[in-house]
Amino acid sequence: MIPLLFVIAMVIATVGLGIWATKASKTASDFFVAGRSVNVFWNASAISGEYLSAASFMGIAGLVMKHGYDALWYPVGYALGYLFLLLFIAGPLRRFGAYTIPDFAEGRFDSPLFRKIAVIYVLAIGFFYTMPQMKGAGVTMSTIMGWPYWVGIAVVGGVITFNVSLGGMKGITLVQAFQYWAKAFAIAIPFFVLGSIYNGYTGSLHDVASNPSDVPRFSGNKTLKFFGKDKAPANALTFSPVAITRVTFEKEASISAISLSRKSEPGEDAAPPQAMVMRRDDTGATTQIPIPSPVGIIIPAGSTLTVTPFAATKSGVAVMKGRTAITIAPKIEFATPTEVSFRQGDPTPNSQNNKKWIEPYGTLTGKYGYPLLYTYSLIIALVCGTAGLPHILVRFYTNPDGRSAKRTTFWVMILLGLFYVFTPMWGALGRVHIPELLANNKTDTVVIALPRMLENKLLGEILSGITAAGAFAAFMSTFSGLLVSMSGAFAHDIYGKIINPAASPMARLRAFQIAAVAVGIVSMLLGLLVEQFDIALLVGWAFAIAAASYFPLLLLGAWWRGLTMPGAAAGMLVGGTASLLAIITYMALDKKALVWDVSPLTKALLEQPAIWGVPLSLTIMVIVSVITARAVPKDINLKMLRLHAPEELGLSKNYIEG
Amino acid sequence: MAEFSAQGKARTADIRAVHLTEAEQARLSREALTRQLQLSVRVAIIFSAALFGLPILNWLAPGPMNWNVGGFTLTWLLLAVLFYPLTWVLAGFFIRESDKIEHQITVENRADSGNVNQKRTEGSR
Repeated sequence: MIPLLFVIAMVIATVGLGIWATKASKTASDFFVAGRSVNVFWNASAISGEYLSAASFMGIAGLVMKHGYDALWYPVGYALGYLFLLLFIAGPLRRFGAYTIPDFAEGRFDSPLFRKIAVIYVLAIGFFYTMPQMKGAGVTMSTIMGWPYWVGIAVVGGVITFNVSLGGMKGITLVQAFQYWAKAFAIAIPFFVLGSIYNGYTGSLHDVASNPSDVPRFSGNKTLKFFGKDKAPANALTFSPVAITRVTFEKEASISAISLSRKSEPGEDAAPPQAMVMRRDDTGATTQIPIPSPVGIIIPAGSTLTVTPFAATKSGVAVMKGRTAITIAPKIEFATPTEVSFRQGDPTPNSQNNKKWIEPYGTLTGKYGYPLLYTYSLIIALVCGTAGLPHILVRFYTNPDGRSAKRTTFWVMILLGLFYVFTPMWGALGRVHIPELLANNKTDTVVIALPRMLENKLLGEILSGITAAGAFAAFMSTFSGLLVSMSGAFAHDIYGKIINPAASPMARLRAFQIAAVAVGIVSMLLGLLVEQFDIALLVGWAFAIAAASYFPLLLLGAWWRGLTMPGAAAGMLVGGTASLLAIITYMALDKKALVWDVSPLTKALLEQPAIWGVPLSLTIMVIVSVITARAVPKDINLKMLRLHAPEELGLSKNYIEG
Repeated sequence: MAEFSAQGKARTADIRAVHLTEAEQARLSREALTRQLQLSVRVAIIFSAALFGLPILNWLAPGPMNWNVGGFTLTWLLLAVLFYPLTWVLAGFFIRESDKIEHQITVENRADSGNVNQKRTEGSR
């Protein structure tokens, strides 16, 4: 109950602040333009407030908990994107007076047509970004309230959509700045308390590093729920090869497959019969279950499965990797949802060993055998993608000039760094103290679930309430910002420019409201599909699409006078669409909705397309622009002056308008 | 609604810069762009060397990168903690140098065109 109160207080504070700031907008704007330094600082807080989404607040901690070092690239990439934005985009774009990316597309090439083309990625990137926000809402409510996943999405998504369509949360600096500080407080303060009770960040890392071959152990007897086959691959339980694991089935379970955690090499012996033994707790009768097993095994309620790891052998001789013998454990997949119990001290299924976790090139980047390629592709997506996010550039317009745009970016980098340095701490602490989240793939909830492990239940509930409120601030701010960007794109660019150019302001407002409701509903429906995808991964894909579509447009558009509209359009469309298709193909493969036998290299390139998508897009832009060189705007020098000449010379158009 | 009202601005013709001749526009835009770009690329190279170098170091020297440094492994400390201040330093350096370039361009061009000078005083607040 306590976390719910915190969450409700956060929602009321945010909505109330929005209403107050709108009513008192005169006072509020006086406050923000009071002095340049104040302005830059608060504007930076607002940008950071809108940027820190569920992926930052919940997703990174979860991904670090699951994958360790490899996942550290996410927070670093999210923050470092702003350095690229600072070096190449922020100053010129602010000087140019482009308010959104479609604005820039139109103004840079004097082409209303290109604006219509450019707007499609606002929607494509936006939906990829809203899906994980919805997942954040669903899992937060299921953790603090025990609601089913879809109920959390429907309630939270519905409330935010309603608020946005009524005109709330429209990029109000004060509200967004408040949300940054709420999130920073919510990630930092509970950690200081937990870190002093458990043994802290470096203490947890040290625990992990000093037992390299072990895996996390259950800290108590735990009963966990598992999905069925329709949620594959989240229905699998891969046992750890380090020690015996005992699983008690609370309910009858239907198992769709039993296999091995590692693919056998040719000539390897079959698993020994004692590897998996089922015992009826009431009668004491035992049965050995062969691996692999014929499909359709039923395990009766009240049975305990004892899973014993075994050494891999070839004709009785141990298979070695270096100087260590390889041990194998079985993997079971459930056909229907079930509930099973684990015992204190047993190794946690679905977890990697400590050495793989703390060292680079573990289960995230190394899963296809091309860890360097995967790492670089991920870095490129995150660093280049930041500049191309539809809801971020808008806020830079609130700076008075290019110089303050740069200063604001600098402060954003400081505020984001201060926030992101905390996120892996939660992952490290979570892995040591609440490893059951690894077993049933709920690591995205670690920031909310970890405080509840405390012996002092009241303190745990309060701390969990603070992080849950922070999570709410995260998905509210980002979902609202995206909803405004996407609905604005619909109402202005699609309805106002294509469908009904003569529309009155009232009709456009109505179109905006209808679009907000429609986009909100589609986002909620898409959110239902992504329960088993990690939040941080999903947001990483939005970055990859932005990196291959908008980033090349902004980069070359700002710095290369030879870029033409056909060139920019061709590169953006090919690069962005190819990346989008690659990611959708990967998701379909992962969900087993699509069966296609592809090589590990192809799968790595499908999952992380930036390493080919960004160069592809840039190359096409250059080639097509060179071919269509006649289409370079006649006043290109004037445009370049607007982008790059210092405002003090008085050449940029905002100064002309006064 | 902000997202609709901004459109007018994007279309407003630029009145003053048109007063510069075509040749002046070309020279000034090239000069401003080239100097800023050189700076941006220089900083980007330093930054990319750190960012793209770390995976290489992890690959080639896994032993030293996993040394214990104050409870962290060396590479964890570099990536999860020290990368942020590095970018702050680079960003601070970039902004200082970028302001210098803007100032120099302004001073140089103010001297050779009375027109431009007049605009500056009107434009600055």
